[in-house]
Amino acid sequence: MKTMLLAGTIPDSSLELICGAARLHRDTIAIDGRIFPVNRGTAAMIGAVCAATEFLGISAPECVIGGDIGTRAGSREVYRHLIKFLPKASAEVLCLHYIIPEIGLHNQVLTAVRKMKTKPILIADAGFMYVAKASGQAPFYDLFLPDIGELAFLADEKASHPAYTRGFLTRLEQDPQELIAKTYTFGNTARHLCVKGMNDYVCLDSVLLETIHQPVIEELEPIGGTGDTITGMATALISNGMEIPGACAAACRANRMAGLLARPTPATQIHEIIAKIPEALNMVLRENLPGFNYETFQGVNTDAI
Amino acid sequence: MGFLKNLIGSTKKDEPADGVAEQGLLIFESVNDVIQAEATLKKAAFEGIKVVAPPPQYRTGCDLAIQFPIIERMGIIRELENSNNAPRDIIHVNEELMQPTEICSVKDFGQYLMVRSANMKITVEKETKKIVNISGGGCSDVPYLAQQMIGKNLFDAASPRQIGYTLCAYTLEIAFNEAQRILA
Repeated sequence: MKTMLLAGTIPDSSLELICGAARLHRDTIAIDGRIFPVNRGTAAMIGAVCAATEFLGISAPECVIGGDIGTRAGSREVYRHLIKFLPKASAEVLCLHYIIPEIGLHNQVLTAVRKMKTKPILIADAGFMYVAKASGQAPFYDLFLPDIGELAFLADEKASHPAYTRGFLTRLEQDPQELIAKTYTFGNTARHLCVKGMNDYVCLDSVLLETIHQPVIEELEPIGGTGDTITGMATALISNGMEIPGACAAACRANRMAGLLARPTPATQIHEIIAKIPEALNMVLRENLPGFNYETFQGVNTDAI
Repeated sequence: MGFLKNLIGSTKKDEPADGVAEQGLLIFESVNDVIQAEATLKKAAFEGIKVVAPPPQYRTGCDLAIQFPIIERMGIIRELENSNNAPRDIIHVNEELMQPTEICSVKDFGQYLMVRSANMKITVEKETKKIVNISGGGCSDVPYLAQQMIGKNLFDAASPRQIGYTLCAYTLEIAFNEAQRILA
């Protein structure tokens, strides 16, 4: 097993930087004696990692968490902690998540990573993926996990944030392969890319390795945190020794299965999906999924595998 | 008024021969300051105010600036100083700057309606107008906005512009306004 470190923020302005192992208990996570609801963002990602590590029987993840409601204070604490402690850290998988983009501090974090004895597998999602791209240093990373809107941002050589992305809503969602090609052409992505959406795409060095499109559960799209759970499961599986592409594909499948098991509506909250992760991972990793009849299972809209 | 030293080209004519007003750019400490300044200037009926991406040397990765016709600079600065929100810098611009997307897409789930703008989505129960989910985004105020807004009525909830701090909040505001328009 590879040791992992998860870094991000939780929306609590009174929270000072905390570090420690995370534990999932129903719809909350506990870190360093503090308890947080698993609603979305980094808390959902950590919740998914915990659910997956418990299922896999491996150690709980170590975390660095700042309290931030958008003022940057907690994000800056996380950056500074990473800059100071990463050179001597032994993390082998580093997942960087909801942190407000600050290019200068980001670049110092990468300098700290370069000082580590062994470069960890670098995973970036959410705000840290934004700043990784905006800094021009995306290829230093091993894995980005954008949704379709964020993919359009990565593919846009001029955009410094997804809010500035041009013209993706109208045509590109149906065929994101043009966007995937652009992200690699402009050097705006990590070596591995896991695109989360109606179809999930797993890519390596501009080659599309796998498309996951079953089961189709449209109700997952409005639910906050369903991308974060993929990131969390992929991180846990990579830590357990799986190769990055296989881990991403399994995480995407398990996320859909967890959604199927939770029988969601657009009002479902992410902790209801996280609760189904162990069962979903069991189905994906240990059962013969290609023979699984999704339609019989719940009557959802499915296409042929 | 120390920031005025950065006003490049202030001795130039404000109205070039082609009739297009020269543009200035107001740089602030935070996205939230920009959001407040935009509201102040629009309320004061200044024309030609646009929020845009600052040029590369001012970028941190999550930022906005305000583009304005430079001929209006004195009035604009006075208005912002009166609201205790003076810009950190004012620069002259002659390049095309990117604007945040204002395009929305809508997905109907029957009982629920989801509105998306760029990377942000808000979902509302049609009958009750209750906000049931917020998803997308990557800045740290997204979970905070969700915490504050989910479960509230779409027309009673504090808007992302009021309580958010980042470009994700700015983008969510666009989807929030569109949902209000559709469900009014």
